[in-house]
Amino acid sequence: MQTDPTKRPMKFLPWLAALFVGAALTLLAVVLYYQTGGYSEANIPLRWNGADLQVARGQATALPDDPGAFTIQAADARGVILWTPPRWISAGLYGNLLWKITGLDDRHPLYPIWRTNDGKVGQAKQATKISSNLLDLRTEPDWQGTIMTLGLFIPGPLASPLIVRQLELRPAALTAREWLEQLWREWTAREDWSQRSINFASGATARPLGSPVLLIAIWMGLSGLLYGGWVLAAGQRLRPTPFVALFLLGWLLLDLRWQWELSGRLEHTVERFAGKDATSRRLADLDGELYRFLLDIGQRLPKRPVRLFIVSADPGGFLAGRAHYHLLPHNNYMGFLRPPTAAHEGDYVLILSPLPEVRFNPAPAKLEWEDGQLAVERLYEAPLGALFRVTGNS
Amino acid sequence: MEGFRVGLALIIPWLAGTLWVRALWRDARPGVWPLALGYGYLLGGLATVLLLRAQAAAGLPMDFAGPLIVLGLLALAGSGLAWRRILSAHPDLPPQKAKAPDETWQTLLFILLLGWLSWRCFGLAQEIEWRPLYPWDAWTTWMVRAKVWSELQQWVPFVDPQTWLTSAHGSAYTLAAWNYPETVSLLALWPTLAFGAWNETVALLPWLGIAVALGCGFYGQARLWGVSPLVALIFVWLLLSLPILDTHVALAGYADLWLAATFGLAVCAFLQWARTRDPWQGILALLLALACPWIKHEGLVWASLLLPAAVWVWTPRRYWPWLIGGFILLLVGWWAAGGFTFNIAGLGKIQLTPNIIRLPLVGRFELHYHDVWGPVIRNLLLLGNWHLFGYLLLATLLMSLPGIFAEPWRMAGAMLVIAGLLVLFILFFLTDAHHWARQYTSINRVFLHFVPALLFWIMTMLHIKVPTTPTESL
Repeated sequence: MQTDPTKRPMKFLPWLAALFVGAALTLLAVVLYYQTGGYSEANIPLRWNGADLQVARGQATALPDDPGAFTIQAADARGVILWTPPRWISAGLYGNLLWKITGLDDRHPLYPIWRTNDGKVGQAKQATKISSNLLDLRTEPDWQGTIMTLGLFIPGPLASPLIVRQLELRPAALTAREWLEQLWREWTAREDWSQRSINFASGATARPLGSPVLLIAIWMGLSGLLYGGWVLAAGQRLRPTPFVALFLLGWLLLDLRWQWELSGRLEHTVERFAGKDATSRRLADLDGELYRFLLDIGQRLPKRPVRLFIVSADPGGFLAGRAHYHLLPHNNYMGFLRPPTAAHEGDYVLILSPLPEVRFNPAPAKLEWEDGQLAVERLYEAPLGALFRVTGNS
Repeated sequence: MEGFRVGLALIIPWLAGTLWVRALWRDARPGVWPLALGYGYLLGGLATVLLLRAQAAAGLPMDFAGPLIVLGLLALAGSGLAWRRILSAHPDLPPQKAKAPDETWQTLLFILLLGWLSWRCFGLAQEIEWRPLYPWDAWTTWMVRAKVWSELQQWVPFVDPQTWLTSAHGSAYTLAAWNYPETVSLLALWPTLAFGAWNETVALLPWLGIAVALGCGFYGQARLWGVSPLVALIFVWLLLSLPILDTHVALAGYADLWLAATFGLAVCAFLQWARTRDPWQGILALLLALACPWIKHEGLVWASLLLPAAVWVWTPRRYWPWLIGGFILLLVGWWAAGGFTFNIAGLGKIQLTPNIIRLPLVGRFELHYHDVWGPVIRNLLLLGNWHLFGYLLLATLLMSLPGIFAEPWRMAGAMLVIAGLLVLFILFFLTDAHHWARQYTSINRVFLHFVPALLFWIMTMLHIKVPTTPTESL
């Protein structure tokens, strides 16, 4: 039997209606869920005891009467820096900082600091000397995007000890409009490739207020229920096609967003690397400065492959690993905290700075460390490190 | 000239593999050419690796021309064989029917989807072209050997760091993961041999090829299953649009995409064999399953999952209760005996106890429960790694389990899926690998190994078979 073509669009109306009503219900449900304080990571205050904080600058000791706190006895003119453990924090969502620190005064006020996921460090313009208070970081212009770590900076030198007990970051109370704006900001956030990209794709921000995948699953699920209900109420038979279409539409929306994100990443790639030769591309890469240094190192090494030990404070880290790769095909390895005792005359040692534990003594030309030494000839030195040729066995 | 040679290095193995795979089937079934292109790329690449390893084992100098000539001859022989097969097939095509309006829409959608996928691949190809080698394991492990071999034009061995340190003037090199399989490094090396020097873009081109090959192989198998061209392409889109898979093409250099393609295409062929008993599908499944440990050590475990499923397919239906009973008895005996420990000559000790699992090549794992449901759910269902794949998998599992006993292939597929998910559960919930889940380091990469296979299984479960004629194109 032939269907009247003029009536065909009517077939889609219930499906479309279910889709739009499903979208509205999803948004409404999300806003209500968060507004009514429904359980979510987004609504939990983040707390760190003093003992949880990492002291990047200053000398700290534990307090015997309070295991959760510590005291900072001394700090030089560079002051005190404390960091929380890494955690993805949405700057749009969290903003109220509270602390319990005694010993602050006019000369030693507290400045909140933070590091974003793209490596930028921000510092609050506001400082405070009050030992326990609340500060709204959302008024700070640099408090944006995803915050990887939160910290505190207190100028030095310290006249008297500081006692650090607690740091707390509370989610801000958002209006419905602010919630929607926050959602939109998250969904339209574009991140560049990072070393984490190979392991996971966050799809918005790493700790989203509303995961696009989840929201689309809810949206399509609700729309499917509405449509199915309408079909059954109309006394018709359920067919799989409209439900498959809903699922594929949801997938397509996610894929459109992913394509948009990929296009943004490609724009960055083209901007940084396109049209350049291999060396220029390397220099434009995230370890370009190291690569320039290694080019200089390469000029001091013989053309034939030599055995080379890369010694650094972090042998399993990024810079040591990149140095290992860039210096190939020299027969090199980077797993050393100290020059190895197996080094022989004719081998080479590359020290990556900073490595204060290993010193070069020009007379009588030796690398020295706590329990060893190695006769070497210094071939090159730069702020990033130094190259030595081994002249005798250790 | 370098470009021409690199083109030869990529195309000749592909051509050889494609023609040999195409020659397996006499008739022009729908999907057989895309299938041949997909499986041919992978098998051609693996054959190249075999030739390079043979060259090294024979003590011959590293050479591009030798393997290329052998592959060229293989392609010639394959073309002769394929040509004879095609000629001996049904030569008379029935006249083309005029397309119904629905078919026109399907064709239009097919073209749009193909355009969308092509655009995606083009963007990913540009990332490979311009971005210097980027991801961590690529420059710490997989590309290190390829770069050394390519730059020195010599088969220098890689040894563990301690041996390297104590061998004062040896020619051996070292890296932390010195014992990882060489296949992926050799796949990267091959086009650079053609180029004549180390070049990262050239070394990473095979990653784009394997993504395209995975799509072709998947599409071909879907068509052979009886799925319409549009639905088959929709499933290819679902596969190739997955963010983690795309990332492993854009940031090429890891082995995971290769293992995902090899294991995935092995499972596709296995399910076809389980349904039709087509021996060539069985051979494709076997070849690719054997290649899995060659790519990553865990491939041995993934490939071994095919064995119980194959036993199920081989066993006549009347013996199924005995099989289930035997399995339960074995399980009870294993538990009562406190596990099994035995040696396999050439492989080493295998220990399977309730507290410890030790497998050759893979390692030793102490089993304790770790609650990592949070990270697992976040990665599979909330973050952007897999679009809606997690939901699709859960829904398919729920819908399909009641009917798994209907046919042997259904049960075989279900066994594979459940065993795969069980292995992932053991890995992430019971071993120290729970850290990988908590830190989001390899949970998605390991899951990626299973995704093409899972998606094909999902397609077989959701598909209501539509009869197709052998003359349908593609």
